[in-house]
Amino acid sequence: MSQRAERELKRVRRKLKKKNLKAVNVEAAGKSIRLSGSAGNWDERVRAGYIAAGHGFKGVINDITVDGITEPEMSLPLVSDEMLDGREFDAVIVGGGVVGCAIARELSKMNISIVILEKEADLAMQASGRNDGMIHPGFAASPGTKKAHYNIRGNRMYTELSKQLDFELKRPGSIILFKTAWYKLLLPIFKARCRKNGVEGSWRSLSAKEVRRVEPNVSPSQKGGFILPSAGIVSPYRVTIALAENAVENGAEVFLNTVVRDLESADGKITGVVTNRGTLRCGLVINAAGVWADKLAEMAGDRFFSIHGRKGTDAILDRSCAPLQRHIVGMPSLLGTKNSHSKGGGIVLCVEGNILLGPTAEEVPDREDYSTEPESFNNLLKQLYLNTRLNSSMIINYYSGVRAASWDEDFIIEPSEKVSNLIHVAAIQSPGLASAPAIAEDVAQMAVRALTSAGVRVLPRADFNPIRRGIPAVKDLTAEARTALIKEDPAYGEILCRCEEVSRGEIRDALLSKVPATTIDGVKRRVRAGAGRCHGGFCLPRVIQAMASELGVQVTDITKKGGDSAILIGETKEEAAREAAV
Amino acid sequence: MNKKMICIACPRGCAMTVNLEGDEPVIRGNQCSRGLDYARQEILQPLRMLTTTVKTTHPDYPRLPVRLSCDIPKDSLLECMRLINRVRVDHDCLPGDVLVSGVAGELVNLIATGDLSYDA
Amino acid sequence: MKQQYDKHRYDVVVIGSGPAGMAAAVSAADSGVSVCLAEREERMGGILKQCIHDGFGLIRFKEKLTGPEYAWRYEQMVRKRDIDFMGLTFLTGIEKRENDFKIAFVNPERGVFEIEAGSLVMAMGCRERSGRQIFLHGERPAGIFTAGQAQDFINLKGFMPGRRCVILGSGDIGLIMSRRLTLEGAEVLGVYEIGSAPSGLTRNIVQCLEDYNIPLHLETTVTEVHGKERVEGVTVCRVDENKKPIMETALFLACDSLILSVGLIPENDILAPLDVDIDSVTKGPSVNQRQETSVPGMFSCGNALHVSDLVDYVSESGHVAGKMAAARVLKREADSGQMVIKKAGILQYAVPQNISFPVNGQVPVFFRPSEASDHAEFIFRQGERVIHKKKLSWLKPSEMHRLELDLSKVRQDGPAVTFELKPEAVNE
Repeated sequence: MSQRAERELKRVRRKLKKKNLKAVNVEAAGKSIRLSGSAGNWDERVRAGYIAAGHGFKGVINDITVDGITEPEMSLPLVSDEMLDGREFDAVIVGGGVVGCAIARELSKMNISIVILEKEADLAMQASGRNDGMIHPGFAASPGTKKAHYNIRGNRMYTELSKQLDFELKRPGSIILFKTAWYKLLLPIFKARCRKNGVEGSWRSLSAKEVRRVEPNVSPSQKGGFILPSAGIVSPYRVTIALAENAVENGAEVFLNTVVRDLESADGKITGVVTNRGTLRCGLVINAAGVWADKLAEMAGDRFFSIHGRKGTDAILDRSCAPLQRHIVGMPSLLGTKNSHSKGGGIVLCVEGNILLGPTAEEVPDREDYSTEPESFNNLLKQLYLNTRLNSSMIINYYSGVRAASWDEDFIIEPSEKVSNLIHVAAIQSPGLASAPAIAEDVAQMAVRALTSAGVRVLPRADFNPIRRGIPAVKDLTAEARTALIKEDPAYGEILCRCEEVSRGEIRDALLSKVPATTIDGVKRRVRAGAGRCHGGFCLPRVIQAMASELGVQVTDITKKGGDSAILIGETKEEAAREAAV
Repeated sequence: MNKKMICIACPRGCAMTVNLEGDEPVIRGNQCSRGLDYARQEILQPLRMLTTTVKTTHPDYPRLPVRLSCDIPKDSLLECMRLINRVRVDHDCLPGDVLVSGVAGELVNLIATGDLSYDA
Repeated sequence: MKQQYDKHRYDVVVIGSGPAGMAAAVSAADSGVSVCLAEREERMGGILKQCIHDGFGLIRFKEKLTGPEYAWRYEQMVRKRDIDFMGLTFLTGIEKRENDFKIAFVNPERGVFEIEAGSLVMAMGCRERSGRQIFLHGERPAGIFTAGQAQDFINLKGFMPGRRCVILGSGDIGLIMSRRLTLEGAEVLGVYEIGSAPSGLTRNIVQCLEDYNIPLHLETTVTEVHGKERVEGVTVCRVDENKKPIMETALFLACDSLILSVGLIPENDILAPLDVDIDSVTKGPSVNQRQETSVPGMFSCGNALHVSDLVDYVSESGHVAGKMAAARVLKREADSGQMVIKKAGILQYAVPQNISFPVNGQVPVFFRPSEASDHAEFIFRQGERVIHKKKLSWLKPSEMHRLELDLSKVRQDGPAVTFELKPEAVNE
């Protein structure tokens, strides 16, 4: 170990002692720093993790245990078969989030075989489907970080991508509101950061009056602000699905309900990917496993970082609120943010017209803890004060997601140093959605290099088709186009979800698309049936029947989100049927 | 002894007291004569209407709503359900049609309350 | 009755063919005008189709009918008249023009099309509040249903939403579904109501819960849902007088489903672009004694106007709206003035909210108290002049009252009109 590393370990030990974290052990583990021992509670464990960061190590591995808390294991799909056994792919992408799907799409420009393995019943089921959908302007990340670099590049790429992949992108811009007048003193710093990061658009400061002019319902407590016009919004799961569908159109394959159980290695190389559906052969593995990326790294014998889950809760307001706000706004507390690793949240717009409050930030032991609880929800409601016309009775839904955070709080995007055919794309949290297209470009290059050096001849796919068409929202068509479509196929004229005006035809399209919906939530994410104010109260019985008849399965087989989440548990009068059979 | 009782004959739900000390029960609190009938019957033997569904063979309407032709003793409801659950309708019917006569004792018929049509 | 016919203009268009809409179409047709009845489902009848229990029609038909039977009777009335019924037809927009309305629909047969109407009767009914609207927390598993969803699944489709159920909220549909679930072989662990009194009718507490030994827990609510995929249980908790959970009383109940019966909201979202005055208490439009909204020519009835306890009242309000909508077309005469009715005492709301002049004859007035009271007096006065008084007993917010009042005694040039519900001290 280098003297420098020794010195840094000592410094970490000292800091831990100062914070009274006496039962924590510190050691070097390869190029990383590893914490072990125990902490009195989860907060202390988190504090120790952050103390170990920023000391020049490659990564922080936090193995501190907390009495009485066991980190829940990853949830597993119920399926078990041999469907994939013996299949071979040049690139195996583990994780069907926005990053994995963006990489698949980028790689599908090449003449190689690609597979996405996703353990959930749909794509974007974890962080990628549970965020605020914001395409950040690239202002928040510190200059020089991977976050800043990829965010700026990714933000720029979304304009073209939304056209190619047929998903909606809006750039309402975001306004950072000032709490007190002296925040204006920070303006030179704001501007310097914009220049350093390369934030696009005509970012500028606004007086309180100017803020009021562009955002009439804004809280009167604001003392001016800073506007970043390049801030955009998308539907994060629709983007993920669009990326994957275009990859599939260009030859990639997607397997849902497929979990990687182990990696077989020989000579510093992964030779087999063991799943619940058999063992695959691979050219290389791309670790885009989100909150579980450190576990996958461990399977490959290259665990140089660890992930901790940070939960965020968002609330969605009724679509009828759309006219009440024009920009994304937030009023961050620029002081005392030392222990906070989130941008503080605010009011975000949704492409569908809803308004979103969020997100909160809370460290959680369960990386799949998607519950909501009153305390953080009530904190979330405080964001309502930013707009004088919004109130909590307008809320139609709320949900949580879990960020895959590393202790260094930056993205990990690099080929493995230990395994020649493994690329880590880990710790991608906010601004991960905004960054994904840019990350994918670089990772694709890394992948091509790795495959080429392993002797695979990688060439551009001559027939790559960058265009993907989504399912058109029939209600947004002109009357003439809508009528023409309905005359051709009356299913587009039968409305099943009345809050969002979704037809039977669109629900069928969701079940027949390139990466088809297989669940109620899958249909909701693709075509919005059940995403409105009645929360599926009216349409669930209709959607579930439409799904069963379209898919040719029993109504009782339809699940909310795969696994054991069947909506209905049997027929009425089953007992009588059994008695009659006897 | 006073027994308290809520009349269920109509949605008004009168709160009644029934005094059982004399030869005839003395009923108070009812706002109409149905309350008297209800209270007398409730003391003698509580009766209830049973409404439920039966299976059909129709592809779009797998259940048909039904009721009994008259109230039955409260403690026989679940047994009656078991009998009704065996019924399966495979023909057109209209509200009021008798689907099964004597479904729960000779005098009680099973009546369709919805319509079912197999054409078109 | 004719089906789906390509006419472009009607005197009266009725939106929604539940009990209110069917009644409105019938009474409008009986006034001799042309009527179109638009329904988003295939069949008419609305929610009655799934309300297979009995107790409907005691006032309207002097008989105890089940929901489907009640709907059937009205369906026959509609079919006997010259009313155009459009099924599977979804309303997408309403435009108010000077003397009429332009209404946009979509259906599988015609695609997008427009119909002009002299007057419009809005009978869209209501929707159930969801778990999100009562800020239910915990996990997001399958197995959480509204009572209406459970009713649809069990009664129409023949599927069980669960076998071990907890009911949150004591609305009537929740009580009725407790009984239905029990009869179909499920176990209902209990009904949990955050308030200090049940929100459903007392008779339903008796015949749906007590008859089946299902416990009712007042001042108790569900604070957390457990189960990542399917409901595995709920935490129930007593609440204090501010409805805040008392965490020490938290109790885990293992169950596979949670059924919500936590209130109904009139469906009037389609009215938003028209700036119709909405009563903040009823969540329905403010109407005059003809059930005409603040948009002349647009009438409201049934549960879209205010949520009723009884279908008989819903039908009655449909009849009024249909008749008045027809009258509007036949005799287009501007009102000579309007007066807002003030509320006083323990009156939660009263419908109508306004009086339009000229007024003639008796009109039904519906109201709910804001709090329970053993005895109270309803006073209808103009200024200090009492026009009508009525003593009432056993008032509860969960039970709606109906009175017939003679509004023609109101003087247009007089002072403000007030409906007052005055609680009375009782000497027992």
